[in-house]
Amino acid sequence: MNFLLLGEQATGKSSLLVALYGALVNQRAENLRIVRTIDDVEFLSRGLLAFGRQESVRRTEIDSHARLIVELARGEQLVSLDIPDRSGEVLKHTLDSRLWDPDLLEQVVSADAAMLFLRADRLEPLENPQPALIAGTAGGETEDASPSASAPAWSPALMQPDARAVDLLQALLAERSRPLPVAVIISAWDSVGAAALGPREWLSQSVLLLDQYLTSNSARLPNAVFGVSAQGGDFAAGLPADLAGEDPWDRSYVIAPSGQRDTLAAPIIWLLDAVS
Amino acid sequence: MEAVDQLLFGYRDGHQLLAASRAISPRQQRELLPHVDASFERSDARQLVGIGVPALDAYLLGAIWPAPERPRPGAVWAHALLIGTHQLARLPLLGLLTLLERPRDEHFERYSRPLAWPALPSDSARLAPFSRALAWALHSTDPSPVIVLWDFPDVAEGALIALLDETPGPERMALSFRTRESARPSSPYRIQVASDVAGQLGAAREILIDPRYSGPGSVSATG
Repeated sequence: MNFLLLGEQATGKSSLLVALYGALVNQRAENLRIVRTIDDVEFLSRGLLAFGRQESVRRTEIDSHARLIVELARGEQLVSLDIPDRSGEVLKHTLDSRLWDPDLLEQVVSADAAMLFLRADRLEPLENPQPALIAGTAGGETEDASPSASAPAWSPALMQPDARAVDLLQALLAERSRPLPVAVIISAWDSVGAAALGPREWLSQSVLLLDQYLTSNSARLPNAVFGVSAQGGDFAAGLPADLAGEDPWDRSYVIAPSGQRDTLAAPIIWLLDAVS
Repeated sequence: MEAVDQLLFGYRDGHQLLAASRAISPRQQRELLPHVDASFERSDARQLVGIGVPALDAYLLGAIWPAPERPRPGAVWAHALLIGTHQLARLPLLGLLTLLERPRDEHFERYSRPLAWPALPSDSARLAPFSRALAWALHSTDPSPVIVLWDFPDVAEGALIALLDETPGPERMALSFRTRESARPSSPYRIQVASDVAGQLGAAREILIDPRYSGPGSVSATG
């Protein structure tokens, strides 16, 4: 089964794979067990070591073709999973140039399911939206707000994250005739705070356009939203004392669509159920 | 005065073009990016890359360094020269290595102007066994990609540029190379120089040459 990771740079794709691998190997993944790994998993082992040192996972090189290929047992059922881990810059530059990267397009067409990554700490609602980013429009109500020669020409690179996500999903649907189950992964969930809403409610407040698009296209894009903390906290700010001594696979967690804390396997299990 | 264009890539909300002496479109940037990105195990390493870029009517010669001072782990710097096809065919290239410079601070203005074409360095050292291995590989009629094992890929840079210099002008665009810590199977480069190989060779029928332990005047190769 081919799972596609869709996310721009630093949205937590590799971190999730590392944390998932740690959960699978250390039996913190509900009833999912690794039967065997089929490809080189050195990058995942290295990532787990980095998490152990409370360091973030290194960014993925643009021409890297790292992937997690595993055979899993789910109760009596055997499942083969192939999850390529392409660099987020591949997607970023696909959106900016409005031209599919050939490998990414191939994955989009052949994928059985996808995970769409957004990063919570980059998606807080804007306090002062800036309409002047659209070239040639006035920047505000002031008298001297004339079209400015210094305003940047509009380009896809100026799109806000929610518009970029919807743009991506529209382009994706144009390439597929069959439905694609999507687990929306809100990474760095620990930055949202303990009093936060559930992931879906958070999405509907912070990434409204994407939430509306997913709702109105749920037949072609069956979807569920998960909050994920692959690291368990912010390494730069320092982990809370009660987490600092934990193993990486015990620090990481998922907030399921229900709002309940769950294991790293929850998005995978949801996707497996959605595909079958 | 002859000049060469330059590009600087680095990490700023993604690995991307930070400064350039000529306009680069998003599509062109996307084509260049795989050649100016790398992953490193050693923080003091550097990689050299050379490849023809028909979309820019130019040959890219660049160096890539780790950027541990940047906030994102795994970030790198890359400084690349865009050598015009006419320059590539007729000018001496060996001095270009001296132009490749890692950023020292956040001031990138100096990467936004074309650079004067350099004079040939006076100490253009040769690495005899390594150069012989390269020559052997390229004079072979077999067009398969070549991996040359060399314990210090960074010191092979001079020989690679010398090889490009000695290749007949019209054929230089087709000669691509890259130094790496570990060579990769199915690489887009005609020559890779590395101290070892990551992954399984064979799909692209690579020729593996190990000149490190051979006697004078010989190379060992496996296909």
